[in-house]
Amino acid sequence: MTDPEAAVGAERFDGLPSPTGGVVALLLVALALGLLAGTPLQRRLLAGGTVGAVVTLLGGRLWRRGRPVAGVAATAGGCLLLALAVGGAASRPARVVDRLELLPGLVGLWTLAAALAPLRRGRSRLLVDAGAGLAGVAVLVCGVIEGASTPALVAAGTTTVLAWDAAGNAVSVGGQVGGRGATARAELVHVTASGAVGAVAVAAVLGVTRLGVERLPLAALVALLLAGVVLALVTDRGRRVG
Amino acid sequence: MSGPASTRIADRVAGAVRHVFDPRTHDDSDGGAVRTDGGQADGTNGANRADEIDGADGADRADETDRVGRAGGADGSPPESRGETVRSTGRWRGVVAVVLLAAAVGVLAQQPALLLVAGAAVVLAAYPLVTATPDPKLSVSRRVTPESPGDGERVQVHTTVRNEGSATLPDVRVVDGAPPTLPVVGGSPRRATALPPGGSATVEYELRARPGRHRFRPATLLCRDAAGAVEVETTAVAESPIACADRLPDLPLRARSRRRTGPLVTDEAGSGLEFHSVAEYERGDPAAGIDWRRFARTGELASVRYRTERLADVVVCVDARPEAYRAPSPTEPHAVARAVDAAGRLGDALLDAGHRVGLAAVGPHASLLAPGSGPDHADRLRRQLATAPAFSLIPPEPASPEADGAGVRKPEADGVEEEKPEATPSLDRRLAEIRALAGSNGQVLLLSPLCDDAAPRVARLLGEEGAAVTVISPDPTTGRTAGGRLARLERARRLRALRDAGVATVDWGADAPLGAALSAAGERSR
Repeated sequence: MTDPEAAVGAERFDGLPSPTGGVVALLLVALALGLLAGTPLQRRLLAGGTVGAVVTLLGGRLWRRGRPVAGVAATAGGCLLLALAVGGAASRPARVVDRLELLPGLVGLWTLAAALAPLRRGRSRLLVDAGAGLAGVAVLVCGVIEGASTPALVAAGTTTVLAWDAAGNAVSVGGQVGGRGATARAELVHVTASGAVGAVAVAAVLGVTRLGVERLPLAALVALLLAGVVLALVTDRGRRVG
Repeated sequence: MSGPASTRIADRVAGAVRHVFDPRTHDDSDGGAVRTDGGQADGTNGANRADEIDGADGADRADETDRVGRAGGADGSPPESRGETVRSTGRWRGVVAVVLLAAAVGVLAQQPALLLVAGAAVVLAAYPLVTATPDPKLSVSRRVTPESPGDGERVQVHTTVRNEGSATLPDVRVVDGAPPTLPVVGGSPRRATALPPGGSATVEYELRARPGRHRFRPATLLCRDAAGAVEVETTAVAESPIACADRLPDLPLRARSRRRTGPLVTDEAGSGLEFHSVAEYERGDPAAGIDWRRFARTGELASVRYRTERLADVVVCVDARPEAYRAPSPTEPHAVARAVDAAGRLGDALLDAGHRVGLAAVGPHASLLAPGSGPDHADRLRRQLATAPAFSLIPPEPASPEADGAGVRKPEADGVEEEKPEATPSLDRRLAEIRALAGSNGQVLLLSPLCDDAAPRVARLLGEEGAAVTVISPDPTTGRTAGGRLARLERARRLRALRDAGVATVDWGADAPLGAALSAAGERSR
């Protein structure tokens, strides 16, 4: 027997990630990857992938809102664009390192779009982590192969974290308020605040770089960094207990 | 397109409402949750709130009431909250992993630039540590137009949340407590916004009125700090009941009862108001009952008998098993919400008529109230319906704690005669308790959507020791889907089977007022 759907209050509550935060997160990832992309070809591929990701997200939303034909068409179109971008990134750049640079980022963009569309309910958070993680891998790869300048790398890394935060916030707002409720104001305030902190972080780190910190022994830098992390963790713990 | 997942999320948030609404659960804490004082409760309506709280342990509650009563009083003192839940969402903890990974890769690849990336990430990891935990001072007011709508009329609800504090609240999520018995037909009772000091935001939505008296649940307010790392959950009550007229006709009590005079019209001949039969005069029949016209016509003495009216012990029993939480669509109230609403109105009507009324639930939680009468008993009955977990309007699904800290604990037992839910509640034992409550002479009004084959069995078992059972069945099926049509057929078959087995049934359609359904059933049985 197929049961009529159970409802809690008598309210149409979708609990889907908020589209505003979703689009912002995708654009932030695109910005991070754009900071890393060195060649015009890479930029073109990235632009195509970004448009594909945004269209996928909006198509998924249309589909969930009871416009299945338009939604599926948009999602399919967006995914096609993304697939072309990923295929291009995998085959077209002449140097293998250039391919490695862009590929994880584009797949991450795709994953993030799938998380926020959302193509699968209840998996949004996991997919957000995976998508942002892949974008982070792109940053790391770029750092290892020295594919970008230090300021660009630091800014890209920070922007990736901000994108992850915006996407996580979109899922959280969606889970409590739903994709239909008015959420843009709260989300934009959140992203702006995080963005300001991110800008301060980048400025601070680059300011420290000016002091010639790169000439310090690597071990000393690592020790300083670990001290910072331990301090952060201890403070966090103290705050939660207190 | 709304599947089980959305329902679960909705449960969770709705569950959150219930959680904070229930003062007892304030003892428990999740993880590193800390409670603070401060915050808000709508002072002018604070006293009303006490009505909704179970009064089992009077002293505690009185204190609670007092505090709420004072909240936001005329003295201009800051409003005081009944309780807030502060929880850490752990949103930024993952950044520490980013820091360590970037540092590790930087060390292995001998790339100082990656260490700098890690350094920037440390700043972001420290960001949630410097944001202030919000101390929300919010007031909620609600405007409902019209307050007394007709059946099916649209009701506009405007709920305004105002930041009465001096700090900006960067992330305020409002979930207005729309009455669970009314479908939301336009807009959304939810909103997320940022509120500067003195700023306000309005949630606008439309309800479709259904007969009955409907109460709003407390609005849930979730305030996060700018980083989203700490969430403060609080509730605010703004009383604005919606009354939609629906007079209940004579209730379909069955013709058997204790030998006490009362308003229940029975099939027994005797003294009363309603004509029953004319029988040959017997010595001792009252002279006033003699049919003098017949005597004039035929010369025979005959006396008119009337239907005897008696008093009944009635146990109103709500089927609140997980199987009963069904609705025709996500925007319609589910069968248990309708049943609980109906139980309250039936209880009131029966008590008004002078019957002794008891209350019981069939489901994972037990809730029993022995038949009684009088205004105190009426209060007890209403309170139990409003607060006991057995009559929870949230489907009893296992709540899974969620990573974002929005996990919700189960509402704890709260009420007069309740026990903790058991892993496998013995249905038979519960039914035996209800049978004992009704006794062999009493009546049971079972409110069940009859959505599974166990429901008719419940009805039959309730009548096993002689109690007369009437099943009032809110119809949760829909004709829009094939599955719904099948469910409808199966339900009709169960109703038929119950009728064939001698159980009185009332089929209460999704859009029909309860009164009309009862009248229709009454006419059919005559």
